[in-house]
Amino acid sequence: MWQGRTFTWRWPERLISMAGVAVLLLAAFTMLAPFLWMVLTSFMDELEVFQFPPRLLPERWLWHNWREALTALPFARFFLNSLIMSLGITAGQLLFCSMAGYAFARIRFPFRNAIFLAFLSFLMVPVIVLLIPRFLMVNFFGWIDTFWALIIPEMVSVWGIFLMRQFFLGLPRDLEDAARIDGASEWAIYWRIVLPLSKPALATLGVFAFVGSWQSFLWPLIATRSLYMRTMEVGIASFHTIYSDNWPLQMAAATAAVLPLVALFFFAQRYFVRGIALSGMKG
Amino acid sequence: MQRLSRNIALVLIAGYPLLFAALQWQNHHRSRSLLFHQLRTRADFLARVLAAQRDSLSNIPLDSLQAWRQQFGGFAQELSAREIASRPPAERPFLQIALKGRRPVDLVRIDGRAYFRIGEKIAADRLRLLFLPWQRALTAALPDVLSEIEVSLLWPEGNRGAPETLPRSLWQQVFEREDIWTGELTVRGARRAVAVVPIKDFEFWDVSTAAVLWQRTLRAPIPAPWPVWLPPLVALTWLLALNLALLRREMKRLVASSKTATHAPRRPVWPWSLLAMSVWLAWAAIEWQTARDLAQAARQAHAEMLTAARAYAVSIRLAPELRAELSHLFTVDAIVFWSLWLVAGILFFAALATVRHLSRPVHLKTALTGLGFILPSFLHLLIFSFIPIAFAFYISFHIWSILSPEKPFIGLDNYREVFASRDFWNSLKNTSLYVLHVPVGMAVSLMLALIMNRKNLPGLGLFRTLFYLPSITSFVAIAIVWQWIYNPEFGLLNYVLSKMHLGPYPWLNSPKTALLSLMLMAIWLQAGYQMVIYLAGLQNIPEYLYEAAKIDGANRWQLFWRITFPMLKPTTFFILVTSLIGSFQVFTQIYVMTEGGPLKSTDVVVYHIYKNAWDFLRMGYASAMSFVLFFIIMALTLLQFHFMRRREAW
Repeated sequence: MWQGRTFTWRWPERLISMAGVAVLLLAAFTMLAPFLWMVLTSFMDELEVFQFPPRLLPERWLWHNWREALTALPFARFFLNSLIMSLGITAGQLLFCSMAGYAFARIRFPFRNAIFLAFLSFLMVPVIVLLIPRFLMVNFFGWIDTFWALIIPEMVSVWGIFLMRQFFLGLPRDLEDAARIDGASEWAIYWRIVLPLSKPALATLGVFAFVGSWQSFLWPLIATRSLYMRTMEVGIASFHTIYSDNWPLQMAAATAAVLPLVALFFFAQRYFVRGIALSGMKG
Repeated sequence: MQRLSRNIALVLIAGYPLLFAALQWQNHHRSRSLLFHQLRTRADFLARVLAAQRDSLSNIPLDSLQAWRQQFGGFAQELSAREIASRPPAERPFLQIALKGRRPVDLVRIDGRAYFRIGEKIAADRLRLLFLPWQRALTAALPDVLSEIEVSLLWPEGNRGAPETLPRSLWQQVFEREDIWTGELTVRGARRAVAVVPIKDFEFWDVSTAAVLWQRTLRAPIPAPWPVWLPPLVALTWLLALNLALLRREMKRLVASSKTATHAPRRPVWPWSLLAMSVWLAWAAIEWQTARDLAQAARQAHAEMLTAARAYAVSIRLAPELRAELSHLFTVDAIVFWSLWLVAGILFFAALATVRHLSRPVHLKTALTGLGFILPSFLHLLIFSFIPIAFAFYISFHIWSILSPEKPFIGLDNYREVFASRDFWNSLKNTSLYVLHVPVGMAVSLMLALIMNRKNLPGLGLFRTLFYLPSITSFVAIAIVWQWIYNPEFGLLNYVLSKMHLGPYPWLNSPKTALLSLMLMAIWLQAGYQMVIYLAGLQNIPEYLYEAAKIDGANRWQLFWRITFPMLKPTTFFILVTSLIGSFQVFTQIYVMTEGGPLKSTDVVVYHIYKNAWDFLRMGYASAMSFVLFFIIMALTLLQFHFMRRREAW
């Protein structure tokens, strides 16, 4: 406390730490409360929710809300559609982005940097500009209301190419050079050596691509027409409209939509964090 | 690259007098007689169509929907009941309606499954019919005339009800005189030449409906008030041009980011900015000069037409405004000519560069392999990103609806309408207000990250998971949950606030608080994502900086402002830009929670564009708006780069 002649007051570390933890707990509760309330409300009676102060716990746990909500619209089909779409997009992005990223990182070809810059400049284009012409094109191809329309326009992401390139630049070249001296083709090097080494980056890209495409709303909304081609997000939005007064059923549907992503997140959490570090944006 | 751009700039600047001369020659060559011949034929057609349709319009057999559909097939969309039920209300602005036996009927069901939409409900008792055949014929023949028909639904009591577009006094006049009225009116937020054609009901010999025709073009009266729009245009162009060079440098830095970052010496940015400036200035000058010439010509022509004949009653009244179309033709050629010139130049230099490049010793096989590796991505970006942008640009110069085969070219009119539209400015204002949540949210997430950035925090992983959770879950589901939380009567938020003796607040139900509610939710949604990035940034700050500062006796506050915050600047910048760009494009929440309401208070740009493209089927107009948004986002990104670089250089 006494340093030399001056008296300097240092904040008691412990107190600050406690206050910090308190703030964290409060924030964590704020983050969690909507989810909790969503789950709790989903078990309530239809009229039970219309009272003030609101009930926090349901009077009776109505499990049939869930059955009712999930059978009102073909949610299994929505889920399947979302799954097919997201897996298709993820597979496409993994293959094409890693290929392009590899070429940009390792192979010398004319205009490499210029092409890479041109690719990067597409990051600035807002989705809404592409929406109308893409719709008209897809309509012209006759793809509306098919999986082609959902998957193909998203199969390459510039961000993914950038991510993969950054990762490949960080890989040691020794193995590749050894293989090159042995006469391996570029494709063999890419497929046999580089890809197996870059599983973490692929996992990161895959997870981001999957979640991103699962969350996409506007494009599936306009690219599909019939009820049976709707994805989960669009399906829930429809459900929200149809059952606009029945909050418990809506909450059940919302929970059903959140659950797969939460499950995925808990399994793949480290890839999200790694993705942020990898994308070179850490400063 | 530097030299290349400089060469292009030089060639274009040198070539510009040529271009100028060519345009002048072309303009001179296009004789006045040709222009006025076109104008006269169009006016004639308009008069004839109106005369003919005044009779047949009230004779349209409305006995059954099937007959209606067979006669005018293609304008009605057939939907199954199930599809209708599954669609959100935002997709149902068209009232499914039919006039059965001359009596308006809401919601007609055919074979128990099909609905028809033939009109758009514009008020409780008023219906606007869409896609009437003669309208389509008119649109095809006169690309710059739009028309709408309004039908009073309160039949026959509502005979005296004025169409929505007309002031009541004017409608009274039309109703009493039972004659075509023409003049200037404010329609869709702009002064336009309008013709109102009263349509008599055959059974009662009374005026029950009116066709309102107006000119599509929005060109300001000639001479164009160029001092109004030129300075901001030049300023914006200057900004873009200035930053285009900076963008290039930024991207180069990004490419080289694997190496240690060094501050490249500043290079002059003159080629880009000078080029763009001179081109814009010269273009504007030409346009203005031409407009002035044409104004004189049109004024004379107007006098000629007045003496022509009485049969051209409508056309004569419309003629002064059709002047705009004359200069309009000029605009088309200028754009085409100018862009061809530019493309040719770029192609030439690209070819030159390719030849120079390939003459270097490059292993051809490696080059081909590399190109092969990027080929799929290249093709994909070409087909699904580049061509769509070009296509959208093309669409934005047309009236484009998926339902009608005619897609008339209208030049820059979509853009003019965008800037004249009060709704668009409103949506832009809402969006700008909405993005203000980003800095607030960033402050919150920075605070959280600072608290979490300690070695011995118990449950760090759990906290991080919890905070990150909202940004990876389903946005629609979250929007639904928050709509319920925001419920003014039974919602959780008002309950919690009432415990603190606050509220109740109307949240989403009031135009004053709706946008604010969405901003609060956005902060909640993005806090975790931003916090994780901040955390990564914090962990990259070397510890010795803090230790050195502590030895010098710095307190907590100083540590934060002198070390943490400056070191976090790149992170802050990254989060700011990405979040701003994301927030400018907010859609899902609006679509699910408010649909732009109440009273358009949450009508953001992307939602506005969506509504126009898919509900009002005005894809050209929507494309024009999306380009405006595109430029805003681009300018924003570049501006941020610019300022950030400058601050860092200090």
